[in-house]
Amino acid sequence: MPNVTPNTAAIEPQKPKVAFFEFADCEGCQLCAIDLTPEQLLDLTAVIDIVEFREAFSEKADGSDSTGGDSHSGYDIAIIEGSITRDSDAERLKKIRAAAKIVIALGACAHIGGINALKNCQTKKEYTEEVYPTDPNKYETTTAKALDEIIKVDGFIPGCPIDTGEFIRVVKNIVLGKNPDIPTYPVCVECKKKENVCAYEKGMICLGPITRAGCGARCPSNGGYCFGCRGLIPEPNVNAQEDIMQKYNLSFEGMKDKFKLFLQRSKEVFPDAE
Amino acid sequence: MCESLKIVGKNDDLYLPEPARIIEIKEFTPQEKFFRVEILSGKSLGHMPGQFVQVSILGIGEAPISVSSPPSDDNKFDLCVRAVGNVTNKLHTLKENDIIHIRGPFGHGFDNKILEKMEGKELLFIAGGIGYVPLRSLINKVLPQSDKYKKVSILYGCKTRPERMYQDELEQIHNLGGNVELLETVDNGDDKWNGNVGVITTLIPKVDFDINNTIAVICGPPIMYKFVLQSLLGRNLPKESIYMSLERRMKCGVGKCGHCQMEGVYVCQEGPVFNYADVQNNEEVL
Amino acid sequence: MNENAEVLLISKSDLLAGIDKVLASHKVAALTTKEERTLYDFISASSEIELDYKPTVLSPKKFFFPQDEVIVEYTDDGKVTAKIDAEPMILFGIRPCDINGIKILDEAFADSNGDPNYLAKREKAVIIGMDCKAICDENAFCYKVKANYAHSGFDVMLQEQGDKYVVQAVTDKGREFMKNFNTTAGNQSDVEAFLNEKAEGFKDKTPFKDLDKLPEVMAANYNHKVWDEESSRCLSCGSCIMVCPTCYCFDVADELALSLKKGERIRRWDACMLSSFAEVAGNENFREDKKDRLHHRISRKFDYLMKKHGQSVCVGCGRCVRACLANISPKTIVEKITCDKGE
Repeated sequence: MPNVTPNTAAIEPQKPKVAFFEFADCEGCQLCAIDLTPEQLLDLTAVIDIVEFREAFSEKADGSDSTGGDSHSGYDIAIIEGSITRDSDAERLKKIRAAAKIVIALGACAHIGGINALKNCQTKKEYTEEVYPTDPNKYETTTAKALDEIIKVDGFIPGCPIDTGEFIRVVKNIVLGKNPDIPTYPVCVECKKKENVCAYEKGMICLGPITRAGCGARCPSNGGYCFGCRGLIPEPNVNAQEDIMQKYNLSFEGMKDKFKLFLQRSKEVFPDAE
Repeated sequence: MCESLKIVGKNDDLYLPEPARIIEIKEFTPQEKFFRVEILSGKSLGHMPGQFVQVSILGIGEAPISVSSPPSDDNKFDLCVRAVGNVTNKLHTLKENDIIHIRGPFGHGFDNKILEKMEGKELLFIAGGIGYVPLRSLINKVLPQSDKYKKVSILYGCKTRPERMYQDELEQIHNLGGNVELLETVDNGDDKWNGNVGVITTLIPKVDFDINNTIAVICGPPIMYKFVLQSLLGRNLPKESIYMSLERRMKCGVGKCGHCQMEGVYVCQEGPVFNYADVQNNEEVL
Repeated sequence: MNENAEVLLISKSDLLAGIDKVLASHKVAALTTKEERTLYDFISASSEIELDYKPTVLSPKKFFFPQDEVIVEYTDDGKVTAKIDAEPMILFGIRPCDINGIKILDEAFADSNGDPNYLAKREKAVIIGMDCKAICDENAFCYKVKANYAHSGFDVMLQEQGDKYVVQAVTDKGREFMKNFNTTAGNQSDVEAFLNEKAEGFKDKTPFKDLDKLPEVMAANYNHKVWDEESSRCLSCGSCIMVCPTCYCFDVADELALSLKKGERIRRWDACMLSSFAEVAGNENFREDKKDRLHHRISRKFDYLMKKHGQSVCVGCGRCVRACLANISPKTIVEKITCDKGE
């Protein structure tokens, strides 16, 4: 049978069932995902069938009621926000993986461990005693990890928070059977396109040269510098950063400090991290 | 000096693809499919062997694909496509009667000058894997008039037996006899394969050719060229007698986007068919 | 420059008044400052124009070859159309280095496969050049490639002389444009006076040793140690390419609307310094090493394309030098290869 829409690509979109899950996170990326105009929301729900999304509605993919835990059936794509900071979370994550055909990491926490992984720079004793001085063992917690340290992840939507446009593009590309199309080039490309004055010229330490673009250089374009929230580009020349620090008379220690915020799980930056 | 800008060669349809219908699909292997396509406008593609078209699936993208059929006067041509990227993966999901879009033909193929140079000579085709596809256009032009050539030898190597493409045609070529020979090899044999096992270069010593009267044509995966060239040059075949069809990433097909450039050479313009003597010093060729 | 071109004189105030007049009917782009950024952009009044040059991040290339440009549109009823947008515009105050850059793009896009999107914009534009009397900063090296002089590629050239400008309209478009301005007659000696001043400003600024032979020199130094030395610091960030007035490589991508009912084919600036540039489907990468990518970028300027254009394709504007955090400069590379001590 010929395709129904032969001229827009012979696309015969299956309408995949999509479930959202969350781990250690602020839920901000899920909020960004549905920060849509009414038209966009209608278009989105025309191409995907959202079957579970605790932040937005109470239905569950497997038909159970909202008081229960995650569904382990009834969805094709799991979009997961948050990092894994408890052993019990790792088990929960594996069950979702087993139930989903496609797993997408949503936002920096799921993609690269995010800000949660900042605690990994301290010992467990240090951070539990600092946060819960009276009862440090009250909550289960361990090293914060990205999803792909536990399970196979098929795609990711980077950023803290994610970019709504990019979320839509990734979802669309998955529906179309395309690669997610996340840039492999660094933020500098987008900063130059915007004709920004380089953050280094303004005396700031910026992680733009080694950080994956796609945000439209949002922070440097608004007077800031890049924090690295979208993770490293493939093959970052981290060593060259040291030369840059020298050129601009900035401290390499200061740069390493900047790495901690989002890049604690990146082997290129912290090869010895646990 | 200082004349007003003279706009030459402006082509408003340079990037505009035109519709074509898939009229036949055959699955060669799980990765490779054959597509017969007809241009809806009815015009002939008008290609030379070795040229390529930019195949569009609107909404997905555009990818360069070799035309695998010989030149013809009608509006139909063949493609053989390995599913490796966005466009080719999508193409594999299409069905007969579906519409795709094309631009082209592009590139410098086996033009009349090369074809004339081949007449009366021994032709030695060396194809590895999907490299058979770009050469098939020329092979299928040559075979019906094989008496114009002293000899036609086709060497075809695949990784495994099931990866052989155009198996029916290969059988026909094996049975042609006369001055046509087809030698095949697979890198890894199996119990259904009783032919040669080994890489493509193991076939070259099995062919007799007159180094002063032979034209070799090579197409295959990047790694193959170096070893095949070594083998041919080792037998003192002149560099001028070797043609290669190369693969690069052509985004525009018209010498602009820069993706296919090897040193100063735009493969989509000067290639994909090159005489080895012309590019032997180009460090980015191999 | 055309010695027969009529020489006119115009005062600064008349020049700006004329621009305001033109603005009533035309889009005018000029050097201007927005927030902290100096850039070429469309202006709404002549008071926004920066007459004194300050280096910009991007060159005026962006007006003819936008960063992202829709080239084909399609809808689900089967309609596929070429999208070629162009409207008349005036580019005011373009410096010689950038005029040379535009000239190279003109030649690149107007070959036998004339690029409709570039050429449509280009042919509707009037280019008002503004000559320089000295290099604009320590990073510029226009004189090294003789791009501090523009001999063609503009419609009108302005040369500052005290509180007035010497005007030469060298094309019909330029002469027509100058009718909007209140000018007085000048003569060739006004041009000479400017050129003398300019020669003084560029005194001791000498071109690369054997500039015309650079293609052969570069080819002979394919394996020079400079490629390793310089590329080891390279971040592969692509900044140098983004800001280059003569880089024109692009990527092409399809974007379907979320409704999946219509879509666009978009071309975007791409950069051969980025690791994925020469990747083909199936993961083969034909230029995997950043050393090879740096070699390719620099060789396009001084070898491959220089042969085609008959002049250095690097115009020495210095933008890539300013943009490079790792201090990689075409000037340094060429000087190391040619054993030129620079100045």
